[in-house]
Amino acid sequence: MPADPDTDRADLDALRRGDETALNRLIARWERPLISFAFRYLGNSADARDLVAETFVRLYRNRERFDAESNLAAWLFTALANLCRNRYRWNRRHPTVALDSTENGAPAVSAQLHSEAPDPRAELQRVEMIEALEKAVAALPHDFRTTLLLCHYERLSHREIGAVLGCSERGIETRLRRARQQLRADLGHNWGT
Amino acid sequence: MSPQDPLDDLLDRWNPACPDTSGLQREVWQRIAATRPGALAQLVAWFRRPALSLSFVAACVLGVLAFVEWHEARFQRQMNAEFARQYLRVIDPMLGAPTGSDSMDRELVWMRDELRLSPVQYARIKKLHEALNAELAALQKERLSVRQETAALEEERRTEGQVDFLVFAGLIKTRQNLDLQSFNSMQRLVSATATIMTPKQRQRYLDYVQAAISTPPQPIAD
Repeated sequence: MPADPDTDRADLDALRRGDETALNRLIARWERPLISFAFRYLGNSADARDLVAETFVRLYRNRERFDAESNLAAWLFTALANLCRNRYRWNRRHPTVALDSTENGAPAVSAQLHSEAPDPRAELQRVEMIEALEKAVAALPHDFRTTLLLCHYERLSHREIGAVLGCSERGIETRLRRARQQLRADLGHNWGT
Repeated sequence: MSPQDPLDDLLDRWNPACPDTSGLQREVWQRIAATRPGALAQLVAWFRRPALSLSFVAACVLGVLAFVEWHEARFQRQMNAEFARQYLRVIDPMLGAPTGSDSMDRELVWMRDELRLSPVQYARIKKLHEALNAELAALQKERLSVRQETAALEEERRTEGQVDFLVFAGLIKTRQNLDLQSFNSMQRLVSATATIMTPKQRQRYLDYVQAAISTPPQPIAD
């Protein structure tokens, strides 16, 4: 996660004052972490890109509402997480098969196989484990999944995740613990190889 | 140092190739451009915000009130100008016929309102005008009589081709004297009235009667 709130505030101020190039700077800084989160959440690159673009459009439309106290990271991930949840529900009601997705929405295993791996059997086992992990993460409820992804991959603090999900830091700790419990239960004892 | 949780190890190994982000900025701006409302839609959206629409209504109400106030003041100024012209006819026998003392209120009330005279000032000014009104009325009556005689001589000159020029010259002289007396009477009245007023009232009063008091009657060439 780009950890420079002062730069974010300066760009938001500039955007509010009408300097539209500030949005380009914000996009350049935030597109990777946002798309990474959305892709892990949805398992579909087209959807991830679409929702990240929508998030920035909403940021632009709401630029007047930001002030010096606003936490851009929390705002962006809140908007994106809500979009992801809605898109995930919609995809479940209207199932389609994306070119880069498995049937449950996770990225295709074939995309992660490296033919030049030294030990094909070990590589296959690794890919299978990751596929199992993707399925297990996809099975997590929204709050658990968001908490896990923001904490483990985007390195947001519990306070920031609490702002995203609208709960306390303690609530985030509980969600994280339960998410991990559920992952362990879904994965069994086959990881760590 | 405790060994890392195998779950963390597995999570660390989940590093899918991140989708390509090239062209995302352009895509965002295209979407913003596509959803940017037109001028009318922006206006409608503007009015949908309660604070702004209330401000607009308040501004309209204030504007209407200001216009009504301005119009009322303008109308009052026009009325007062008309009253001032009537007043000049009252105090200037060369302009019109002075009125009787019973109607003096009607002729002076504009002055009370326009110059914001106190009741005491108004009473004194009214008394002055009533006192001089009889004199002004007599002068006007004489002027009317002389004018009629002059007109009769002129008619005689046109119909009979001759006229008694000594009589005619006498009438002209009488008329000049009457005009001068009228002018002096009016100046006396204006001067006496002005002394009752405050400087500010006086200035405005003199502005109204300036035209009448600044032009003395011209002598008629012999």
